Amino acid sequence: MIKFILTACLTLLGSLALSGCIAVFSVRRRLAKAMVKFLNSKKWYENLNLAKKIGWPDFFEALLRAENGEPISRPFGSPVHRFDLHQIHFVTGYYSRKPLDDHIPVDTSVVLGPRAKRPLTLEIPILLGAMSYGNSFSIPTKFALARAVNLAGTGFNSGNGPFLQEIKDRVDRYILQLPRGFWSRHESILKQAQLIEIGLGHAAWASAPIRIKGYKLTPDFAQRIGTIPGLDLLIDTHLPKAEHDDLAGFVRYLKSVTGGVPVAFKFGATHYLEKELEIMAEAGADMIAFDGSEGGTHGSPPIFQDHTGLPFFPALCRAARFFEKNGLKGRVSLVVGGGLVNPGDFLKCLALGADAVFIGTAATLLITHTQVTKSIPWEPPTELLFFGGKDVQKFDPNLGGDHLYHYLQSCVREMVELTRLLGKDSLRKVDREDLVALDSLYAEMAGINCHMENETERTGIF
Amino acid sequence: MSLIWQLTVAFGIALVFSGLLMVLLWRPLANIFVDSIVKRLLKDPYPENIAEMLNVFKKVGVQNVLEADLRGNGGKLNRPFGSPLHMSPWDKLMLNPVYLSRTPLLESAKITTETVIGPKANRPLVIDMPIMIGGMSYGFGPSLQAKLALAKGADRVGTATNTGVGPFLPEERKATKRLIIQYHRGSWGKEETVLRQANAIEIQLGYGALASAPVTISAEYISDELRDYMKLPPGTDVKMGTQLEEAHDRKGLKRLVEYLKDVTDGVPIGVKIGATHLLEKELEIITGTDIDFITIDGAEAGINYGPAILADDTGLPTLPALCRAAAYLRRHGLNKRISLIISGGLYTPGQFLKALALGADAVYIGTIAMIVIAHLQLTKVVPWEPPTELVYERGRFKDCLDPDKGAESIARFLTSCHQEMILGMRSMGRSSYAELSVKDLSALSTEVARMTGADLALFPLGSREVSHD
Repeated sequence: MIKFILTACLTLLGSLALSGCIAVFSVRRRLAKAMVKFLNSKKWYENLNLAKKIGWPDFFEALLRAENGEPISRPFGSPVHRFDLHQIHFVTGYYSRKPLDDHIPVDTSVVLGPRAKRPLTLEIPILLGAMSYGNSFSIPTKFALARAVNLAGTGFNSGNGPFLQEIKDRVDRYILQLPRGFWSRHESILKQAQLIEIGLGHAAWASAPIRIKGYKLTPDFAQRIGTIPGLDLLIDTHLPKAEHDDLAGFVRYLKSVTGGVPVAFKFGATHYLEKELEIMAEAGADMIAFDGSEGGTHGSPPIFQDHTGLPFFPALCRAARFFEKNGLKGRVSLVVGGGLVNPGDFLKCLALGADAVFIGTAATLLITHTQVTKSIPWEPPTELLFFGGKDVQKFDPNLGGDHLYHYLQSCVREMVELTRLLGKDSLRKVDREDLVALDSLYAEMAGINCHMENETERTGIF
Repeated sequence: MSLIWQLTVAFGIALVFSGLLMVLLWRPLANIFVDSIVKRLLKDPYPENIAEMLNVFKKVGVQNVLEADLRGNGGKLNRPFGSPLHMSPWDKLMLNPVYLSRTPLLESAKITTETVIGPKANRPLVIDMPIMIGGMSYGFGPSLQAKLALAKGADRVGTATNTGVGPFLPEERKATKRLIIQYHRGSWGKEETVLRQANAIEIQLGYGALASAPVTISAEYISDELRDYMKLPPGTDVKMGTQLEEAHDRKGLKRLVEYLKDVTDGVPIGVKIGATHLLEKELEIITGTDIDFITIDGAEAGINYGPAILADDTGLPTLPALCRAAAYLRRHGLNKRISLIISGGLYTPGQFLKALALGADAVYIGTIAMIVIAHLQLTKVVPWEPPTELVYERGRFKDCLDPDKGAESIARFLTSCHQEMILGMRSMGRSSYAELSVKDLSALSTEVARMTGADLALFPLGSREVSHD
């Protein structure tokens, strides 16, 4: 029987191949003619014009809207690239500025919240962004992230989901994010944090309200967050009223409860950046974190991703300028993110004035790495990671954690190598003088030199 | 064994053998095949090389090559859907969310979404959301089923639909509570009995994608059904001139507006033009009359079909046209009396909200609405036919379109867009569309900052003086 099937299959294959060859070689002229005719016909042209006019993403998303009648939820964030950090280069030298000797180590550590009683020291200046259990990730995924941050010696961000004791027990540097919702406020939770981040929002959602439908909550999730399954979960547009009205008091309270860990604010960049920063600094923030409009998300309406906020590059330049002008540099830590993937980007951010960067989408891609084969081609790799994903059981957290750790290591090594060429012995010492812009607008925004200006005519640069 | 059997077996064996050969030899065979192609590409002299097509496509552009070929077929090139060029830099504008600097609106806070077209008219047109279905005419573009789908869908979400220049359809009137009837350059559908049924009347002088060009549909393309609706004698062409005879000058327009107000007992009367660089001059004449709204159709607007030159190379893009029209109305203190409706290449709620912030009172959608009504029914035509076959009067599959399903799709689309706009408003801390202003926007290029009057977002607040008009 098997032989028969095999023979039949081979026969089929052979005849297909034969007929294919015959078709191609004998009627190729006719084929070409038919193709030209098809191209010349109006139908093809109509489709082409339509696709070009509306654009595939808008076309596709319009149809999704027609299907659901609700704001659509686009994963990962905006595909629009507004500014290109490749327009900025590092300035290396040969005689005029000497690289650092090979045997001198380069310091990669960074202190978050230097003014706080219990500042948080990271071994590398790359943090993981807020990615929460339930809203986005499953518990095994959080385990993978925890393993990676512990190996790399950086901070783990809880995200705006519930507090997970089993994760906290595995990491040394736990950054607790206080969401705009009501949970994670108990003192027993607050006391376990090494840094508390008040999450006012992120770029891909701005400050818009997020309502998680009750039927989507699993009993486990509902219990952890302190609610009843079936009840809608609301993350409103700002913090609960008492906290929102007296921010400074809230920050003082958090510091006193925890014995003085740094308190941070996190928001999405906006054109009102300076005003927001001023209020946060006055409220007593030890660290301010924001992401630019390129920032990722588990899923959010495209109006926030493509149309709202401030892109990463101008946001960083403006914030750095504000920090310097108001004497906040060195007292309040500035942490930025939003579409960052490469070590070159990270180091440029540090040079432009950030104390550390955070990654989200890149980390998500990295913990799947070789494990994507477990879900593709029929499901996207996110099915391995996301809460309620179909392939969550197949995901190996240890392997995922190792991959992310390797990536972080690789990035830091590249940053160290470049810092050595700049003749500096610490990543913290890389600054704007080490940069040159290939475009005059970028130069003006960042306050750095433009490559068109002749160095020798300027004084006091190096 | 008969000969046929022997032949069959022989053929079978041959097939099996060739199959085996293919299994064993597909790599070397593929190698030979690819090698021959590569050799030919690398060795043929350039003028004889097929690779020259790459250069031609890159130099001329794929679409231009195709259009030139189509022109080679003879006759006027009638391109469907209007210009594929993206002329308005919407993506260089950003909405400004707030966190602490102002308080965002809580989820429970009420947001007023009601929009009034022609607030000073006797019987203003009130819509529940500022997104309306633009003028697409039965017979010229959409089929009867498609028109019904649009009207029903719009009615479900409480917004208005526009008849376009096609004939008045009693079915459409019945399907919706808010119907804008176009008073156009043709001869049909201008009876007082028809005009009286309007909730608003739009005097149509031209399109963004067609300017004021004349429109002719030759008799052969006019179905009996359409002819009945238009009340035209058999065998005649349908024609629209470049001008509206009744209103070819200032006085005529004034008289026409007064007449229409009189006949309809004061529904909002508006004028629709395609955007042009002479916008202010046009507006000066148009706003000199007692109109209640004005519709500006930007150059990216769609059209059932029209010459490429009028779509790509004529008129003014939507974004600058909107900025200039809004500035004109503000400068002359007309923005409280005359509603501004903008259309042309608007597809996403982000664009709608930006248009409202720049001074529009409502937007029209066209092309995207046509796509959306086909939605799931698209599978009936793709990939061998374009979606137009499903929704256009001349389409071969127009009878396959289910108007109720189409209405459901368009209603869902509008609801989704509007919900998203409301979320955006909450994060911007605004409780009604009227509160939106250019202060809720920031520009990512100097050019756009100048065009719109929005702050330049690249530099710190207050470091650059931008004059708000």
